[in-house]
Amino acid sequence: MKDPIAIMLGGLGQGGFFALIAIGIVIAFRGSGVINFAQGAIAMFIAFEFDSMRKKGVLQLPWIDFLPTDALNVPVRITIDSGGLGVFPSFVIALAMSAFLGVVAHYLVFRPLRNAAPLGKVIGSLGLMLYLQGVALKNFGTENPQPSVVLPKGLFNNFLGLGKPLAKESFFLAVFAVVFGAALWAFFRYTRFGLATRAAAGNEKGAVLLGYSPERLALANWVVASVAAGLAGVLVGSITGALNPVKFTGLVVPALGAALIGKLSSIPFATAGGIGIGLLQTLAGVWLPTNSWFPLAWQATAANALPLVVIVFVLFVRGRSLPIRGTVEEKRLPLAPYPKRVWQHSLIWGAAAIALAAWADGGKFGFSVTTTLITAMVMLSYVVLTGYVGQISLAQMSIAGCAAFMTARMLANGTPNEVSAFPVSGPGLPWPLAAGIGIVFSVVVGVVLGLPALRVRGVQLAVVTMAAAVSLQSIYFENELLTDQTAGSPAYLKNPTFFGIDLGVVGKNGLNSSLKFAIFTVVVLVGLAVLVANIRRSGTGRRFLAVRANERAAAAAGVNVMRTKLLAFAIASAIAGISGVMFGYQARQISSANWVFFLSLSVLAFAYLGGITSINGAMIGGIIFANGLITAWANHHFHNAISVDLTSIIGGAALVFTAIHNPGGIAPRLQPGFQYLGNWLLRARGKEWLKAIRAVGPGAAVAAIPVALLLWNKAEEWRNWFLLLVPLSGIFFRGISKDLFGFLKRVITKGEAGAHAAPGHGAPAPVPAATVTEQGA
Amino acid sequence: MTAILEAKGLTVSYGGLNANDDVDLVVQSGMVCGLIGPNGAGKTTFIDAITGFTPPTRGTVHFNGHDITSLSPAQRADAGLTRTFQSLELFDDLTVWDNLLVHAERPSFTSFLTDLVRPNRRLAASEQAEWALNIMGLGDLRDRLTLDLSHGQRKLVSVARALASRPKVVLLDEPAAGLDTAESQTLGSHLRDFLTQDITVFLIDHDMGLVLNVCDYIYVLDFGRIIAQGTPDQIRTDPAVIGAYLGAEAGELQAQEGAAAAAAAGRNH
Repeated sequence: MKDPIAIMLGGLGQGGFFALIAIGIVIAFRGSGVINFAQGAIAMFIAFEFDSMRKKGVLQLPWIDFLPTDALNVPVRITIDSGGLGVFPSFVIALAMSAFLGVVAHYLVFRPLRNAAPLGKVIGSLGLMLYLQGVALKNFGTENPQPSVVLPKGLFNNFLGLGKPLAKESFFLAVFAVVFGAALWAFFRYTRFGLATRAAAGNEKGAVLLGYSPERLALANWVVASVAAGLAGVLVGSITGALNPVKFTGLVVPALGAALIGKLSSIPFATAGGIGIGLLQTLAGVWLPTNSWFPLAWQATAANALPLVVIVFVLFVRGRSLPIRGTVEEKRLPLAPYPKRVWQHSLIWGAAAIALAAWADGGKFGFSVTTTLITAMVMLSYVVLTGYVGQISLAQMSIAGCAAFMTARMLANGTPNEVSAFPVSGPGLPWPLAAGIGIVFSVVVGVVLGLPALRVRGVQLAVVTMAAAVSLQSIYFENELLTDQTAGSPAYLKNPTFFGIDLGVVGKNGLNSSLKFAIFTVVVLVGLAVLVANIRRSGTGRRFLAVRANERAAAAAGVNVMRTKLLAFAIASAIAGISGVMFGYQARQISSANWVFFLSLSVLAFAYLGGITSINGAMIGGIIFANGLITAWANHHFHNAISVDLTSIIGGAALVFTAIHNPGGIAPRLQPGFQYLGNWLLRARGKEWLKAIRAVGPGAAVAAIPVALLLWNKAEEWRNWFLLLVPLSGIFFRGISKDLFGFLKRVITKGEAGAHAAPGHGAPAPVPAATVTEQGA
Repeated sequence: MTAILEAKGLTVSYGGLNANDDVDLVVQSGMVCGLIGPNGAGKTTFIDAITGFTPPTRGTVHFNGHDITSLSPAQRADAGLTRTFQSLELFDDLTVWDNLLVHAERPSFTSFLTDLVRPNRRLAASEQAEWALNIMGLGDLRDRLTLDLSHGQRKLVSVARALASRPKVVLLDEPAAGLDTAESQTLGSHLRDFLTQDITVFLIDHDMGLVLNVCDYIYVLDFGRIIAQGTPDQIRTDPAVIGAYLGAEAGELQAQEGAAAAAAAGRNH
């Protein structure tokens, strides 16, 4: 009995880290009602910051040099002392940086989102997370340094007389977490500020009436939360191993579980939950495998799946199968448009896509064409699940991965192949059968994943699915017992054939771009799009939208809410599974390194950006996704300067912007233009052009400039970055101009009010804005 | 006339407080039955308990000869017991017509497969939905989003929606709240039409004029208990009701006004 306890105590440090992150999540939630998925990313960023300051004395700023020129640069780092700073100054600067991040997060992301739908808030925090992750990858490099340690080093020999050593670092981090949690608890319990925060969390209007500013309270809470994350990042030291932006950010999942144990409101319970999860993870991950009966291949699984078990259990016990009467009505998602003229659309766009693929055939754009098409398929699964039924899933790519891995295994026959020296064993089934098994498997996984959705709603469901995605990665993709992939080497997928025609991806010049594969992809995508359109147009879609709009009323209408949700999960998983198989055929190989759970987050993010409630939105999402047409086009013009990190950064920023200014995404903005264009094509009437131009308006006019420039000139560098800025400003045009006008209007009206109040003025004549403000001041 | 809906000893407690206390109530088929009571009397709790949205602490609900106490709300709606909500709870992402169809359709387990290939097939359900649309005078609004409608129109949609599945009993939770007297009398005249379609009506409302004029039989609820029941004439003169709820003169006055308005509406038709 001594052994397991001693080993379990080794998880104290990890537990302390989870507790600190969880405390931050609780504080941010109480202050502003946002479950902050980016809490781990903030800790990660500050950990890198501290490390860079200690070793190089360099302060990295939380943005990147986004200008793709050598002549003109945005400053991204300040060198303070090239020999490296001491512990104390580094510590202070790192915490100041985390406070700064908190302020920025409040003003630029969460304050503008305070009245948004829950999905909008999730998207906002995912955007922040992707942004910070991308910036860290870009600015700190990919070398994964061993972090500097702040807490005392060394070991307690024979800790508590249990006969095992314990790292002092671990012990002190847990102690710090408990003390910090207790101090914050006392602070919120006994100070006026804490009282005001709790009051505002309970009833914002009431707090306003008592003279508190909920916004200022939210700001203060964001700073506290962010500093808590910063402390976690600095103090964790070597406990979580080498610093890795992706891995570190993912540690938010167990912390989310801990915060849920504290009902997102209790600091003591969140602290205890965090430490508890850390201990249990170590027990499951380190002690269990020491037993002879435990299969070693499941070691990582046992530790990593634990947060999922905790989260699902906590939420399932607390959840309700129908929301109770008088549940505060949540803000609605954008309308899901009714697709019209489905056949015309699929023929025209299918032909256009094939024409594009034919143009790109054998060239460097070929791969991005198929990437765009296949990504659009995953996004279609989001249209069904999130757009129609309102369920937020952060696991769609993992579900797609299930189909991909299963198909690869079913295709495999243990013979040597061109991608791996370690062939995977398997039954060697023909491809339609293997793909079918893969898709059915992803449906099963998707439905099981959907079970918590019967009692858990909104953002909390997002937490569950995120934990599930993390678990799937270690239970299945990284589990050699199930995949039979030796040491991470990939599994090979034999090319699909159609009545003897090779549909494989390898084409002319040996590039991964063949016209036959592209046509295959177009056919699959168009088929899926028609099916999704049919869902929206039929009774199934009506029931989906009814559940999305109001679960209680749907139940009163005789709609079986549970069955409807599970059906949506099944259909969405089938679509995701099909995309997974296609991704597999496109890459011709599957390995766990390409199926990390973060993919789902970016896919959801870009699906939202494109417009999550419409089929067009899914297509646009595919075009703008990493390695899709837009990045390929940009890379072509910027000599491969646009890396995946950069798309993550731009995507993250664009995401926050979309969530705030344009919650419907891009598709509804383009809709009128396409509609008039379509009408014109169908009726061939010239004057419709005018209407089309008028409908699309200034945004399209601005976006037309780069197209003109592109035709005019091709390569000059300064023109290239101009080209990048102009379409971006075209996209942001509406939001920015709205902000500007609003700001000017406020300034003017304020000025006028001042002018009226000033004595000695007669009837004020209309004065220029500048004068008015002067008088007002 | 047979008892189609019957609550026996129905009790709903919220943490020690009995929102409904041992309520016995019978609705005969082919009639308009009313339930009145002051604010907080437990009327909506009663509807929630009957339709399965709130589990009763004690007691049973029988519908059409079967014990439905353990069924889910959706199963009860399927069996022919539909309701409206005081707060309407329309599906704001759908058109008026789609709102009705959601109620009217009774999908089988596999109908989504047919939907995938033939989304626009003619549905058997649309006939009844059509009737519900027309009887509430909503034909013109068919393809509008419910979000864009006025409050009065939304009220009518919520009632039409409950009728669209051709239920045996429809429970109306304050359908006249927020309507003016003339509108509520028009609604009242519609309620009698439902009976011709074999739809029994159970009406909860504040509007005494409407309830006293339209209902065949009335229950009065106060502090979760039935304090009186009978025909409108009996209720009008019941001392317990007058004392507890109407106030000696106000209720009479309101009832007379209502009757006059109804007569006026009748002349205009």
